[in-house]
Amino acid sequence: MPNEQETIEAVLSGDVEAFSGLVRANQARVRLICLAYLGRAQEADDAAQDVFVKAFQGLENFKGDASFETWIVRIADNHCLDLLRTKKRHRTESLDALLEAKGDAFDGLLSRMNSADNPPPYSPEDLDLLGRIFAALPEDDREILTLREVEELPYEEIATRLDCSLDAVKGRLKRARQTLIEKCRKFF
Amino acid sequence: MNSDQDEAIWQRLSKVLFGGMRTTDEGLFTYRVMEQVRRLEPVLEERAWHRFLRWAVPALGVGVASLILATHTPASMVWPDESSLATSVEDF
Repeated sequence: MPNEQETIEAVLSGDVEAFSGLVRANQARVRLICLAYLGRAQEADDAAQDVFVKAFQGLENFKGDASFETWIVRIADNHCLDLLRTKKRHRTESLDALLEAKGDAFDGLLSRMNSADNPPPYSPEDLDLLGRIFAALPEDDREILTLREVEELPYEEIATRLDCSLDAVKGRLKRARQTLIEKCRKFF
Repeated sequence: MNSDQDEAIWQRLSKVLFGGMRTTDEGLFTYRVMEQVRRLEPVLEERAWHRFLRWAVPALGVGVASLILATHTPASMVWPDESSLATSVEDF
């Protein structure tokens, strides 16, 4: 199986089909980022597809200083922010109401994802539920959790991005986690 | 509030919300992306051709100019004869 760099070189040399390996390996991460930003599963999937197309078009600009994953995460982040600049965020249901209505589905997802060392794949229904959960989070919590937990950015980079101190980042993150824990405590 | 308990809850929660690295429909998703990518192929080929022309045309120009200069070296050019110059000076 070719490694990432070999795959990229193959695509740049004209082997378009080799790009599918990069899509398959990174699609879950990119879709999750788009879900976290946009909330709705269908909208997020459309955005995630656009992210990969953009990556394909700009592949010759990939320098290889960081991994392809890091590079495409950045593209996804920028693409979602661009989308959000041009459209209003959807009004969403409250997290309490969502977890009340979808409690069984969430409970099932909790059990499945924690039953093995390697989490099983998300189904489209799981992604839909996750999108609704992300969308139901308070804006500040959703933002900090997306940057840290989904994009896995270092604290320093988050602080720069949000124009605040490291302590402020850690404080916001702690509060966001605590809010989620409190809302979901009944499932544990 | 028990922070150890909260930490354990967070670990399980984050695994659900952010831990998935695969999806059941990754084949379908990949297929859809590749459909769009294949549609771009002619555009990219055209772009590659323009990129090629951007350096090939000047390079061809330099090559042709070099060839012209090489075939018209000073040795093959007709210079005023030194003796005729001397004669003209004498006449003067």
